[in-house]
Amino acid sequence: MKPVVKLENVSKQFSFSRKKSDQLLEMLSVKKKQKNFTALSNISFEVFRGETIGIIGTNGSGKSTLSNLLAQIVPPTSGSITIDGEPTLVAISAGLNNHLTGLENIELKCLMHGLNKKEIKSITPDIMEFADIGDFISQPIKNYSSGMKARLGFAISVHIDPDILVIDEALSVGDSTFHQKCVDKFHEFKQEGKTIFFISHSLSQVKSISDRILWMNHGHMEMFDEKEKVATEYSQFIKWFNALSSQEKKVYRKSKIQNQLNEQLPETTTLRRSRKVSKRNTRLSFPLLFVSLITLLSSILLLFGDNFDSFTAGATEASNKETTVDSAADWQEVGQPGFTIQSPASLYSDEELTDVETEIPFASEMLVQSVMDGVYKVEHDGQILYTEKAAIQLDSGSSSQVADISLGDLARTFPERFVNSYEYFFAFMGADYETVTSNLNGYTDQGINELDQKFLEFSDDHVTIIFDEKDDAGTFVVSELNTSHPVINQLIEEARMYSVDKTLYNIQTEQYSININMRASTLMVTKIGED
Amino acid sequence: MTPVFNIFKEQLSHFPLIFRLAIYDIKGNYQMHYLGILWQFINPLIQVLVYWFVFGVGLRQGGAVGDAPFIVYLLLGLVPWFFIAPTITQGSNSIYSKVNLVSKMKFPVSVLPSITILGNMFSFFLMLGILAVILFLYGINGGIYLLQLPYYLICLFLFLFAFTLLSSTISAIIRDYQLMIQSAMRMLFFLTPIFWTLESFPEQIQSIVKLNPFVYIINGIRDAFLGQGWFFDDWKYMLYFWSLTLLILLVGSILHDNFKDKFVDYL
Repeated sequence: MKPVVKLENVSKQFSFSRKKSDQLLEMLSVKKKQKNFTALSNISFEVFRGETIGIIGTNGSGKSTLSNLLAQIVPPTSGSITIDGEPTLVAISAGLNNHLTGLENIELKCLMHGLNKKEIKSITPDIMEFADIGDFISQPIKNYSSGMKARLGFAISVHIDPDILVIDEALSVGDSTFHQKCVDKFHEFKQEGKTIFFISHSLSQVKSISDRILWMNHGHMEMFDEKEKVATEYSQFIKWFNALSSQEKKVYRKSKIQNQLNEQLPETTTLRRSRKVSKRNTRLSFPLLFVSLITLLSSILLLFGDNFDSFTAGATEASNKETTVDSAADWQEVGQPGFTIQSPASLYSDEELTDVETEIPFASEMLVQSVMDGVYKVEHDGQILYTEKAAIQLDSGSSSQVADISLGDLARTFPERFVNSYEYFFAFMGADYETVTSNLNGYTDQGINELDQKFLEFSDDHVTIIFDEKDDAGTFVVSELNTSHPVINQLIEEARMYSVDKTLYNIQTEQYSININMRASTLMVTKIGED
Repeated sequence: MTPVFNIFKEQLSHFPLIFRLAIYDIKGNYQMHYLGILWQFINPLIQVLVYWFVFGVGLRQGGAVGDAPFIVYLLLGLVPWFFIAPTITQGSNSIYSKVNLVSKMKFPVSVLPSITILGNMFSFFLMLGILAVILFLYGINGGIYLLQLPYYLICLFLFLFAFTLLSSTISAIIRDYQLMIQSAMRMLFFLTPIFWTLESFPEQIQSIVKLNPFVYIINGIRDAFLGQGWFFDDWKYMLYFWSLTLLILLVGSILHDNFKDKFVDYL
């Protein structure tokens, strides 16, 4: 007769790693296993169709490990297990979802065992009948008592028609009625020729159900024989053990556990395993290497492919540029706005910079068209003129910088006399010459300055009003500025441009363009934005 | 390559099971809530509104992206992301959280990540449907380019499958990995062009950003819906994406194959 379940020299070890990292290294087989606990050692037995096997033992004897191996949940460390059929483990509330109702759990668990919807429908009433939990069936599992949970789990497991049933302590929670029901079900299974493993530490339960009993003691199979024989031996052992004093019990346990820790598995099996693994590794490494290589190459292509394209494109572009530049008689295109950074800056009408056409103040804007040998060709007021390169700063984006400074802040740097009257003076900003002269009395000087602009000087108040070409009061020059005031430093930091010698600064606010001359201690405020 | 085929065989033969279990997963998740399954939509909706307000109205001042209004651009990135991010984090945790359930039965562990993907997919498809309605209301039509949508969806599912297979295996063994994945996903949300455009960066930076495979998927789905280009236009990127997916799948399958029997031991 062919055995249904056959175990050959089955051992199971658990690693006793102290650190999590040791476990990892061990897993990657970098480090040799250090300390192991042998939960099962060299178990061999055969079980035939229709048998009910009781597995008995004290706590920590390896019963549950054996049941897990039989249900094929965990693999053995060494040895082989041959099982003919589908094993099912019945453990308390295994595989039940606490949030789902009993009915839904029945369906879920049956699904997981591979039953289809029709089959589930047909067995559901049987399960409900067997579990006997009444109206609770439509309640979430979390409301169940532990007995209900166990009954439901058990009921589902026995109804999904397993070939081999592994029952781990599942009956301990049921009452005697339920227990009787289970025993009846086991008899039914037995008649159908199914194999049952019944795991318990209660000798009476095991004896009432099993045909043969397997006695486990600290990882070793102590006995496997007819139930009466084993039952007598086991009860004698228990009697002997209970008679020991607690000190002796401790010593006995300790020595057994020490044995389990020190036990080494036969070398041959581990050797064979490692060779198998290395062989498999070489077989797998080729596609792995190949795909890694492609990934690497494609990521390089993605990262640098565009650069390569733009590099070649850039090279052709550059060579094109060179030819056009050659034909344009050494004038190189600039086409950017620029600002004067000298005061005043001279604009010449010829390339050699000999004839001065006009002089313009610091921070005047113009369009720089092209450059050759330190000379800029610029467009100013519709005229094409030339100037030294050093007098112009190209707009590098800083010209749009807007400082956040109000007139009130500025006033703190004004001379004491003007602080009191600046608001009155600035009220005339933008007014025409007539209005200013008729309203503001006491100017000490008037005339035309070096830039052909009319001006009115109020030397008592340290202010000069300069009129633009439309005779409007466009610019106010304040002299005797307190240049050591922190506001000045702030202004300088926010300056959008400054002269080469760092004495002239231009600051742009939302309303004004402000020029500071540090050497002459003057501040020039020009209204912008209205025209 | 055999582990890869084996894994795929397991998925196919257990497909009805995966499908049912995914439904149970969704049911189980929302059983406790009064609004139940509605939360699948309330949650993303709130997030969309917040992102739209902060990034669209606040930072972009309501400026459109190309032809599309910002809200459409944002939704086209957020809808896939709301599928990707939870799938990756839950999928990576799937083996760890469910192996006790599964190990009591004869049941391939490799279907656990697939259950997560499928479970999240239902709401993703629904959101795609809502998105299509919104696009229709805005009068945006991808036209012939919509034909490539299935291609990008396949890219998305395959990548998620490969990635969750690998990371669920790693995360079952090394628990630190799960925390790493969580923070990585939070980071990737900002590193993926969801509320910003790839074009707003210089070329070199664009290429680096593109190393993130989600960029391929999200921009691809955008291209399909907005009718902006074909998937074969950028063949270099396509090659990179597929080789990366294959590599992850291969490594994941081999690793999973090696550890599938031992998960119970390491938990």
